[in-house]
Amino acid sequence: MRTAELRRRHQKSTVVAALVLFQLFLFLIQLWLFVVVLENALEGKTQMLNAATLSSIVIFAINTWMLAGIKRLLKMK
Amino acid sequence: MSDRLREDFPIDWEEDHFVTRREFFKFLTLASGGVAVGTAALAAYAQLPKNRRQFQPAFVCNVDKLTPGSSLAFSYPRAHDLCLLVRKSSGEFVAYSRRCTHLSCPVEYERQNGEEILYCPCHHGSFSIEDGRVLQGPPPRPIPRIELERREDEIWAVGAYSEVE
Repeated sequence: MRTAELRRRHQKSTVVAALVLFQLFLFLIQLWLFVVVLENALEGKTQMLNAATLSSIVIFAINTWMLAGIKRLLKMK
Repeated sequence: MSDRLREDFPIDWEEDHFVTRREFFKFLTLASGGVAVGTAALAAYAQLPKNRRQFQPAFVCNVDKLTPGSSLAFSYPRAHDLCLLVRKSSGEFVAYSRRCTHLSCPVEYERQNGEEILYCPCHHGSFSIEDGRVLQGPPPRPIPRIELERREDEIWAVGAYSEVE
Protein backbone atom coordinates (compact mmCIF):
# COMPACT_ATOMS: atom_id res chain seq x y z
CA MET A 1 0.00 0.00 0.00
CA ARG A 2 2.79 2.32 0.97
CA THR A 3 4.75 1.43 -2.20
CA ALA A 4 1.67 1.98 -4.35
CA GLU A 5 1.18 5.44 -2.88
CA LEU A 6 4.84 6.28 -3.40
CA ARG A 7 4.64 5.16 -7.01
CA ARG A 8 1.51 7.25 -7.52
CA ARG A 9 3.32 10.30 -6.13
CA HIS A 10 6.30 9.68 -8.41
CA GLN A 11 3.93 9.32 -11.33
CA LYS A 12 2.20 12.59 -10.45
CA SER A 13 5.54 14.30 -10.17
CA THR A 14 6.57 13.10 -13.63
CA VAL A 15 3.29 14.24 -15.17
CA VAL A 16 3.53 17.67 -13.53
CA ALA A 17 7.15 18.10 -14.66
CA ALA A 18 6.18 17.16 -18.23
CA LEU A 19 3.27 19.62 -18.19
CA VAL A 20 5.48 22.42 -16.85
CA LEU A 21 8.05 21.78 -19.59
CA PHE A 22 5.34 21.68 -22.25
CA GLN A 23 3.84 24.93 -20.95
CA LEU A 24 7.27 26.58 -20.98
CA PHE A 25 7.72 25.45 -24.57
CA LEU A 26 4.30 26.87 -25.56
CA PHE A 27 5.06 30.13 -23.77
CA LEU A 28 8.37 30.53 -25.60
CA ILE A 29 6.60 29.96 -28.93
CA GLN A 30 4.01 32.56 -27.94
CA LEU A 31 6.73 35.06 -27.02
CA TRP A 32 8.60 34.45 -30.28
CA LEU A 33 5.34 34.94 -32.22
CA PHE A 34 4.72 38.26 -30.44
CA VAL A 35 8.23 39.55 -31.18
CA VAL A 36 7.94 38.58 -34.86
CA VAL A 37 4.56 40.28 -35.36
CA LEU A 38 5.74 43.35 -33.44
CA GLU A 39 8.79 43.67 -35.71
CA ASN A 40 6.60 43.23 -38.77
CA ALA A 41 4.01 45.72 -37.51
CA LEU A 42 6.75 48.31 -37.00
CA GLU A 43 7.75 47.74 -40.62
CA GLY A 44 4.14 48.30 -41.68
CA LYS A 45 3.37 44.64 -42.44
CA THR A 46 0.19 43.71 -40.59
CA GLN A 47 -1.02 40.67 -42.57
CA MET A 48 0.13 38.21 -39.90
CA LEU A 49 -1.42 40.02 -36.94
CA ASN A 50 -4.85 38.36 -36.87
CA ALA A 51 -3.46 34.84 -37.29
CA ALA A 52 -0.85 35.51 -34.58
CA THR A 53 -3.51 36.84 -32.21
CA LEU A 54 -5.66 33.76 -32.75
CA SER A 55 -2.67 31.45 -32.16
CA SER A 56 -1.69 33.36 -29.04
CA ILE A 57 -5.22 33.10 -27.61
CA VAL A 58 -5.33 29.36 -28.40
CA ILE A 59 -1.98 28.86 -26.60
CA PHE A 60 -3.30 30.81 -23.62
CA ALA A 61 -6.44 28.64 -23.57
CA ILE A 62 -4.31 25.47 -23.64
CA ASN A 63 -2.18 26.82 -20.78
CA THR A 64 -5.28 27.65 -18.70
CA TRP A 65 -6.73 24.21 -19.38
CA MET A 66 -3.45 22.58 -18.30
CA LEU A 67 -3.37 24.71 -15.13
CA ALA A 68 -6.86 23.48 -14.25
CA GLY A 69 -5.70 19.93 -14.98
CA ILE A 70 -2.67 20.29 -12.70
CA LYS A 71 -4.87 21.63 -9.90
CA ARG A 72 -7.17 18.61 -10.27
CA LEU A 73 -4.19 16.26 -10.40
CA LEU A 74 -2.59 17.67 -7.25
CA LYS A 75 -5.88 17.45 -5.36
CA MET A 76 -6.24 13.75 -6.21
CA LYS A 77 -5.10 11.31 -3.56
CA MET B 1 14.52 48.20 17.85
CA SER B 2 15.25 45.96 14.88
CA ASP B 3 14.89 42.82 17.06
CA ARG B 4 11.48 44.03 18.11
CA LEU B 5 10.60 44.63 14.48
CA ARG B 6 11.67 41.08 13.59
CA GLU B 7 9.50 39.70 16.35
CA ASP B 8 6.51 41.75 15.27
CA PHE B 9 6.88 40.96 11.58
CA PRO B 10 8.54 37.54 11.33
CA ILE B 11 9.58 36.45 7.82
CA ASP B 12 10.65 32.93 7.04
CA TRP B 13 12.98 33.64 4.11
CA GLU B 14 13.35 30.02 3.10
CA GLU B 15 9.61 29.60 2.92
CA ASP B 16 9.21 32.96 1.25
CA HIS B 17 11.67 32.12 -1.54
CA PHE B 18 10.25 28.66 -2.15
CA VAL B 19 8.24 28.52 -5.38
CA THR B 20 6.01 25.50 -5.85
CA ARG B 21 5.43 23.94 -9.26
CA ARG B 22 1.83 25.06 -9.08
CA GLU B 23 2.87 28.68 -8.45
CA PHE B 24 5.34 28.52 -11.32
CA PHE B 25 2.62 27.09 -13.56
CA LYS B 26 0.26 29.89 -12.49
CA PHE B 27 2.91 32.50 -13.23
CA LEU B 28 3.54 31.06 -16.70
CA THR B 29 -0.21 31.00 -17.42
CA LEU B 30 -0.55 34.62 -16.34
CA ALA B 31 2.45 35.61 -18.48
CA SER B 32 0.92 33.69 -21.39
CA GLY B 33 -2.33 35.64 -20.90
CA GLY B 34 -0.34 38.88 -20.89
CA VAL B 35 1.35 38.04 -24.18
CA ALA B 36 -2.02 37.05 -25.71
CA VAL B 37 -3.54 40.38 -24.62
CA GLY B 38 -0.49 42.24 -25.96
CA THR B 39 -0.77 40.55 -29.35
CA ALA B 40 -4.52 41.26 -29.48
CA ALA B 41 -3.90 44.91 -28.54
CA LEU B 42 -1.32 45.18 -31.32
CA ALA B 43 -3.83 43.74 -33.81
CA ALA B 44 -6.53 46.16 -32.59
CA TYR B 45 -4.13 49.12 -32.85
CA ALA B 46 -3.24 48.14 -36.42
CA GLN B 47 -6.95 48.26 -37.34
CA LEU B 48 -7.33 51.88 -36.21
CA PRO B 49 -7.77 54.37 -39.05
CA LYS B 50 -4.55 56.35 -38.73
CA ASN B 51 -3.62 56.60 -42.35
CA ARG B 52 -4.40 60.27 -42.83
CA ARG B 53 -3.38 62.93 -40.36
CA GLN B 54 -4.77 66.41 -40.52
CA PHE B 55 -2.54 69.38 -39.77
CA GLN B 56 -2.82 73.13 -40.02
CA PRO B 57 -2.49 74.19 -43.69
CA ALA B 58 0.85 75.80 -44.48
CA PHE B 59 1.94 77.87 -47.48
CA VAL B 60 4.74 76.16 -49.44
CA CYS B 61 5.47 78.28 -52.49
CA ASN B 62 4.04 80.01 -55.55
CA VAL B 63 3.28 77.84 -58.55
CA ASP B 64 5.72 79.68 -60.83
CA LYS B 65 8.64 79.16 -58.47
CA LEU B 66 9.12 75.58 -59.67
CA THR B 67 9.64 74.62 -63.28
CA PRO B 68 8.54 71.12 -64.40
CA GLY B 69 11.14 68.52 -63.41
CA SER B 70 12.42 70.37 -60.31
CA SER B 71 11.98 70.17 -56.56
CA LEU B 72 11.93 72.33 -53.46
CA ALA B 73 12.65 71.41 -49.84
CA PHE B 74 10.28 72.69 -47.17
CA SER B 75 9.18 71.86 -43.62
CA TYR B 76 5.74 70.54 -42.72
CA PRO B 77 3.92 70.34 -40.31
CA ARG B 78 6.68 71.16 -37.80
CA ALA B 79 9.92 73.01 -38.46
CA HIS B 80 12.00 69.84 -38.19
CA ASP B 81 9.75 67.69 -40.43
CA LEU B 82 11.60 67.95 -43.72
CA CYS B 83 9.59 67.52 -46.90
CA LEU B 84 10.18 67.71 -50.63
CA LEU B 85 7.84 69.39 -53.10
CA VAL B 86 8.27 68.04 -56.62
CA ARG B 87 6.89 69.40 -59.85
CA LYS B 88 6.84 66.41 -62.14
CA SER B 89 7.69 66.64 -65.82
CA SER B 90 3.97 66.58 -66.50
CA GLY B 91 3.58 69.78 -64.45
CA GLU B 92 1.73 68.06 -61.59
CA PHE B 93 2.77 68.89 -57.99
CA VAL B 94 3.42 66.16 -55.42
CA ALA B 95 5.09 66.28 -52.01
CA TYR B 96 6.61 63.66 -49.73
CA SER B 97 8.43 63.51 -46.46
CA ARG B 98 12.14 63.94 -47.10
CA ARG B 99 13.18 61.33 -44.55
CA CYS B 100 13.99 57.92 -45.96
CA THR B 101 12.05 55.26 -44.04
CA HIS B 102 15.25 53.23 -43.72
CA LEU B 103 17.62 55.41 -41.67
CA SER B 104 16.12 58.90 -42.14
CA CYS B 105 18.62 60.15 -44.72
CA PRO B 106 17.22 62.99 -46.88
CA VAL B 107 15.85 61.75 -50.21
CA GLU B 108 16.36 63.62 -53.50
CA TYR B 109 14.22 64.01 -56.57
CA GLU B 110 15.99 62.34 -59.51
CA ARG B 111 15.37 61.06 -62.99
CA GLN B 112 16.92 57.67 -63.69
CA ASN B 113 16.50 56.04 -67.10
CA GLY B 114 13.67 58.42 -67.88
CA GLU B 115 11.79 57.50 -64.69
CA GLU B 116 11.11 60.07 -61.97
CA ILE B 117 11.92 58.79 -58.49
CA LEU B 118 12.79 59.86 -54.97
CA TYR B 119 16.31 58.59 -54.38
CA CYS B 120 18.13 58.02 -51.09
CA PRO B 121 21.90 58.30 -51.67
CA CYS B 122 22.85 56.67 -48.35
CA HIS B 123 21.90 53.08 -49.25
CA HIS B 124 20.54 53.48 -52.79
CA GLY B 125 16.90 53.13 -51.83
CA SER B 126 14.29 54.63 -54.13
CA PHE B 127 10.59 55.47 -53.93
CA SER B 128 7.97 55.95 -56.61
CA ILE B 129 7.10 59.57 -57.32
CA GLU B 130 3.52 58.46 -58.07
CA ASP B 131 2.55 57.11 -54.64
CA GLY B 132 5.70 56.84 -52.53
CA ARG B 133 5.98 53.04 -52.60
CA VAL B 134 9.41 51.44 -52.31
CA LEU B 135 10.94 50.65 -55.69
CA GLN B 136 14.30 49.28 -54.56
CA GLY B 137 16.75 49.14 -51.70
CA PRO B 138 16.44 48.63 -47.95
CA PRO B 139 13.58 51.03 -46.98
CA PRO B 140 10.96 48.92 -45.16
CA ARG B 141 7.96 51.24 -45.67
CA PRO B 142 6.63 53.64 -48.29
CA ILE B 143 7.60 57.26 -47.81
CA PRO B 144 4.79 59.37 -46.26
CA ARG B 145 2.96 61.58 -48.71
CA ILE B 146 2.03 65.21 -48.02
CA GLU B 147 -1.41 66.29 -49.17
CA LEU B 148 -1.29 69.45 -51.27
CA GLU B 149 -3.89 71.99 -52.24
CA ARG B 150 -3.66 74.61 -54.96
CA ARG B 151 -5.08 77.98 -53.93
CA GLU B 152 -4.99 80.17 -57.03
CA ASP B 153 -1.24 80.61 -57.69
CA GLU B 154 -0.10 79.15 -54.41
CA ILE B 155 0.71 75.63 -53.26
CA TRP B 156 -0.37 74.76 -49.71
CA ALA B 157 0.36 71.67 -47.63
CA VAL B 158 -2.83 70.56 -45.85
CA GLY B 159 -2.24 67.05 -44.46
CA ALA B 160 -0.10 63.93 -44.46
CA TYR B 161 -0.64 60.28 -45.36
CA SER B 162 1.51 57.78 -43.50
CA GLU B 163 0.85 54.87 -45.87
CA VAL B 164 0.15 54.18 -49.51
CA GLU B 165 -3.59 53.94 -50.10
